Amino acid sequence: MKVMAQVAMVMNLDKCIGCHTCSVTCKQAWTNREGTEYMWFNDVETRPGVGYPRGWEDQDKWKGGWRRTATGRLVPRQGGRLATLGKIFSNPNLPGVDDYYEPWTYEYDKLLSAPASANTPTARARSTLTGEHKDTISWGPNWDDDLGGSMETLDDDPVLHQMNLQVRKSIEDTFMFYLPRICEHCLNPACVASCPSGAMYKRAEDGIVLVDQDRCRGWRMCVSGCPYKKVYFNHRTGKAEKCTLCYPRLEAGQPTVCSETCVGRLRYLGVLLYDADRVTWAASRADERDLYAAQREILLDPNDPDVVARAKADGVSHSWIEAAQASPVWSLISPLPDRPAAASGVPHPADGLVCAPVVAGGGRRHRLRLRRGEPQGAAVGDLPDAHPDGVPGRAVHRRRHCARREVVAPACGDALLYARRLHGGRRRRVHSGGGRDDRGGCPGHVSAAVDRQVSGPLCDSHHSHGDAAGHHRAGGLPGELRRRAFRRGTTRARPIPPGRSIPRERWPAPAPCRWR
Amino acid sequence: MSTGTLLIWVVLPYLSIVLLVGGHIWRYRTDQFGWTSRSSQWNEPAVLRWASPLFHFGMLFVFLGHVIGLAVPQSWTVAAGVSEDVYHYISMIPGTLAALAALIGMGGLIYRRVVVKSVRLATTPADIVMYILLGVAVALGSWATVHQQIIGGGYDYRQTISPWFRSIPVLHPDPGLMTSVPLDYKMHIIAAMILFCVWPFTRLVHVVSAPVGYTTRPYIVYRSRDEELAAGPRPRGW
Repeated sequence: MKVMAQVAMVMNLDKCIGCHTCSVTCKQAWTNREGTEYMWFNDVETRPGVGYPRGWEDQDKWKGGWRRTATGRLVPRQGGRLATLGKIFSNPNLPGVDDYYEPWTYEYDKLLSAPASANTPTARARSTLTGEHKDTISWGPNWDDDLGGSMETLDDDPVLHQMNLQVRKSIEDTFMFYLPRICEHCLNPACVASCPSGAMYKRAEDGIVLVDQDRCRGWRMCVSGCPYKKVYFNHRTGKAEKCTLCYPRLEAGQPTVCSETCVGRLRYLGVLLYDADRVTWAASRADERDLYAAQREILLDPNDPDVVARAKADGVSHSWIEAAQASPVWSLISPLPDRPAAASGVPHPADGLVCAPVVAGGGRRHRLRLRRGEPQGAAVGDLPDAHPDGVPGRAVHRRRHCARREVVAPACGDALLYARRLHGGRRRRVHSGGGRDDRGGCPGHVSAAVDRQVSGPLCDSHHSHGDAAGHHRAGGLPGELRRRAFRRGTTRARPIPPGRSIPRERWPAPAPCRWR
Repeated sequence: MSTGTLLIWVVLPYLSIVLLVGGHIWRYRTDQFGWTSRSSQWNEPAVLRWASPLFHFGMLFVFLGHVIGLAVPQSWTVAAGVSEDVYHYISMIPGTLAALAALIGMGGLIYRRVVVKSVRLATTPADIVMYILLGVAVALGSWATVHQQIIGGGYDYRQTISPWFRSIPVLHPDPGLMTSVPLDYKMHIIAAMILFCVWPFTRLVHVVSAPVGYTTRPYIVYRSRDEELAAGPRPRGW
């Protein structure tokens, strides 16, 4: 066993309202430069829909991710090493401008600089690639947002094709949900495997997948190698770029920009421990339906003394192990402690918790759909003060919760139930139609998508993969500062032993909120 | 021996070597961030789809032909039992095909660079200089081959140009060998040496970073942040 740490994110898709705040703040932070106009390290797609770039999920077309050979080995679907080099002069699988969209801007200056005239000045659209006017814009990011224009494009959704379903296109009968997408920072990243110059790498400390801007030579294989199409080619610098998981912020103890600005507070950041020795094993399961369980299996229990000992031996620092133990991501993907069942919707006699109604398919997926009291970014928060009464949870939780009258959530699975009680009945049924049931037993699209957003997925040959884009670190902070930042954010939440939870009388009283 | 001969066949070769090697070292140490092929496939894939492989594979074969023709002494091939006539055809036919591929591919690449506006706008002054010098060198070389080898019935450059070429790296330059060389070849060689002088300062640097290491590397690369930081400051870039 080789224990490695991975900073991971879970997104609760039930909460996503498709506001694109994450996309916009990410863009302002990372891709507002020349050559990156068309890049969205984070984007939010409406499903069903074609996504960005168009039809990116169709791996028969794009050849992203991995392929399992007859002998059980994994090779990038676009080709092994020699085949990749053979395509270096022209990558047949590379998405072009038309697959993303031609970036444009508006001539806002004309509104101010136009001479006095009887006519109202206008701000015409202008392509940032050619400088020519674009009076008819025919494609853009999120062109089919909220199913807009989907009469024209829905047939191009590769998932719908795969489902072979007759999807009725009348709006009142259809379903939709939002899918926020960032780089998955895969455990077995196909983009890294595809990079001929070895410029892409997975950071040993935190699993973040980055592009070394100094070593990238612009061979473009990562762009097509990533099955999520989350590595982009900067047409100005001639180098690849991707989501960095905001590592400069993580290192300074802050959550990613997308997490921090998420209006629905649906992103949970945390540390996971995994067995790096078994990544290849998990990613090369013969039956693709086993991939999900295999991936879950190599994620290690951070409370297991054997795992902790092994992690220490493998150089995972103490603060990172603590962070993994307090990780909201780990608790979200872990089974709840065993406890006597209570009737659905009725407070449990022992602790007042309310179980959610039973949902077909249950298990972890079911729980992932519940609201959870812990805000995103919990593992890397920034407010160190502890509750005077020793109540678990950090001040940042309490503050936010006081505004929303939520309960402090201990870093424990039961938090889900607290939250469920407080939000009873508000769980939206976002997607009731036949979901993409490719994980087996999952009730619908939402949970499948939630599953998919558990970060650090293995790259299975069908959906996975990571990518990443990245930039090379600029200077960076000393390691100690980073460690301190993680520690600060994670040691406050004292895990509650399985089977125990906080009595109601010990819930923190709503205090006057200083937050706003 | 005239000053001009010395300048062109002694000074210029060494100057181009110094600039070629020194320029690469200088740029590698100071401008890793700018070291890229600057691909424009993203902007325009259709023409590039056929033109780029045609040009690049053609150039690879052309390069191979130059290595055989210039670096391998005639005595070696004769010793191997290859007569001058046989060598002439072996070099001429595949060489012409390779040159044809490179020329057609280059034509396609230049066409898209001029005609497709987004590619044109992405063209830097260094690109223009490179395209002109490379185009002239390739065109003159092709013309020399057509003129001397096909129309003219064959010029044995391995008696003159090749020994001169080999005299440069051994620091025993023999410019006298070049005086009798046909003008076509002289022009081609001069154009090539000028190209070498600017080579490291253009996108052509991507040639020396051909990713041959990829063939033996493990697929997944792990790098440690702490170790990278310990390695000290890094040059321009992110």
